[in-house]
Amino acid sequence: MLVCLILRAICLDAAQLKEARVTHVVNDVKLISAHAVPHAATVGKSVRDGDAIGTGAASHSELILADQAIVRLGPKTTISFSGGTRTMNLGEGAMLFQIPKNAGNVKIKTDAIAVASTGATGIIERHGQFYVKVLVLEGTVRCYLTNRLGESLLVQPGQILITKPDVTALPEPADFDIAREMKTCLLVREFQPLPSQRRIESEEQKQLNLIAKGTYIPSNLVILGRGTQVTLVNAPSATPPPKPLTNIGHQSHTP
Amino acid sequence: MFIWAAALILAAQPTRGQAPPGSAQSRAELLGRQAYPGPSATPSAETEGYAVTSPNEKDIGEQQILKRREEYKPFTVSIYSPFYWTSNAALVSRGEQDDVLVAPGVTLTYRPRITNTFYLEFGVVQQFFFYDQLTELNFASLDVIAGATYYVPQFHNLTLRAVYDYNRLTDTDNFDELFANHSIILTAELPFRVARAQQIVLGTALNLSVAGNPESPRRNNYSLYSYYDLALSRSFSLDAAFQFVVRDYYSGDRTDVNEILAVSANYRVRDWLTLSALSSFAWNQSNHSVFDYSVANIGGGVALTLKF
Repeated sequence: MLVCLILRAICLDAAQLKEARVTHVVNDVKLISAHAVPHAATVGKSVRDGDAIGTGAASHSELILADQAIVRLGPKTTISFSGGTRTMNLGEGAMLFQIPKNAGNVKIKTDAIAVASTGATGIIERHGQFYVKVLVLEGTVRCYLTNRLGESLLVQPGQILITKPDVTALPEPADFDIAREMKTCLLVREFQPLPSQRRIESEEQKQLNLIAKGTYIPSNLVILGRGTQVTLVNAPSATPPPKPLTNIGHQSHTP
Repeated sequence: MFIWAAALILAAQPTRGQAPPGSAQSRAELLGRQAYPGPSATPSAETEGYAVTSPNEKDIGEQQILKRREEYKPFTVSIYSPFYWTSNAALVSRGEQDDVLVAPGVTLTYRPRITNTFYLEFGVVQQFFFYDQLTELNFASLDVIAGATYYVPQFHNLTLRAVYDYNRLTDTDNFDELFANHSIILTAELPFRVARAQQIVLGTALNLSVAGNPESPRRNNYSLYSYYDLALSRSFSLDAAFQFVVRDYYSGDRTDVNEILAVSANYRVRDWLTLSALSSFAWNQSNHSVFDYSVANIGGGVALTLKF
């Protein structure tokens, strides 16, 4: 009897670890399962290993994994789950991830690039075969190439990595303003506060201190949302009508 | 970190010639830390840039780029203390005696950056070699160097370096001079990055003795070397180095061929503190068989490095 109870508890636990739960849905969000036709996702719906979830235009969604990791999907985004939902495959679009410190290793893959962490908040975006963008708001994220041994780097809070999905060597990350990012990110503003909010604020403060020290110099180059197109603004603190400038992949293009 | 301690014997070290097999000069080369650090700042060759269409969504927020002010620190102070068990303390062909030695040292370098690819270099290195049993072999080595390093990023980050080195070997009791040498050292290194965490470097070096006192131990070294560096994590790395050097002595017709293989594992406890496990093997063949020897060294080391 006791053995049966233990086995049942183990099976239940294992099953729960392989599930994510939809906690927020706005507009068109679809669940795609191998065993069923695509159907609308609703709050409370389970997403299992092998399933995929996609958002349409002007839509977004949030999922909570069994280990309390949070995933927020922006519009026109598709992700699938594998490895007991501990591995997410970003097919297209943008997602915010928040991996709690005790959640174990969570991995997000997109083409040959993988992002892994045992505790971090960040954003990853992919657009076709054009680019992959990774931003880290708090914690440390390891970016590496799945097809190239040793090609790995740690992306720290306030760093942004932009590269091609099929790249053979990772470029150096650049730095971005966390506070501005947090103020303007809809995946933050249109949801409940993140559990890692205080840690992100702490990183914002560290950046402010470094700016005050002169280690960081705010530039007038801004990427307004998705993509890699850099816009020249007149002053770092103001946001007058933007003027498209160029595209960048790293910091050395700053003035 | 100490990979050079046993292996980089390289062209960096002063020349010594006609010295007896167990000379302090040879032992300094074999056991000493690199007399002065080689090039360490390789300019980035990052040139990627993309012009792609954007999905024009604002959902992920605005990324204002921050420019990091590069803070170059031209001064480096290192204090280190490798220790070894050596199978052939006196570097002799017959009657080998093993021993344990410790070789504490300090290095001060100043590398002002003139341009992004051109650096001047000035340094002072003082290192001591203390043997446990064979104390009569104890000696100290002082190097004073001045030179320049030029990087050629358009050619695989080729590194060219030219330095003048004044080396003075003394005993450790009264610092009486055993040998003094003035040399010009020219090196060319070509790094090949296998991946972000792996690098192979091929290099060649000429160490030309300009003047020495006494005259007889002077020699020129012509060497080829390679080293491999694998960073297994942020703090732990493995290194392997191999050097092939021909030593052409000024006096007489002595010519030696020396090969050295060294491996090390390094753990960086802090940015300024590194612990290492070291081993090296050296073989020396001379046209005078009395100078033939082989030696194995196994040990460890601790190094404190401060940049400012």
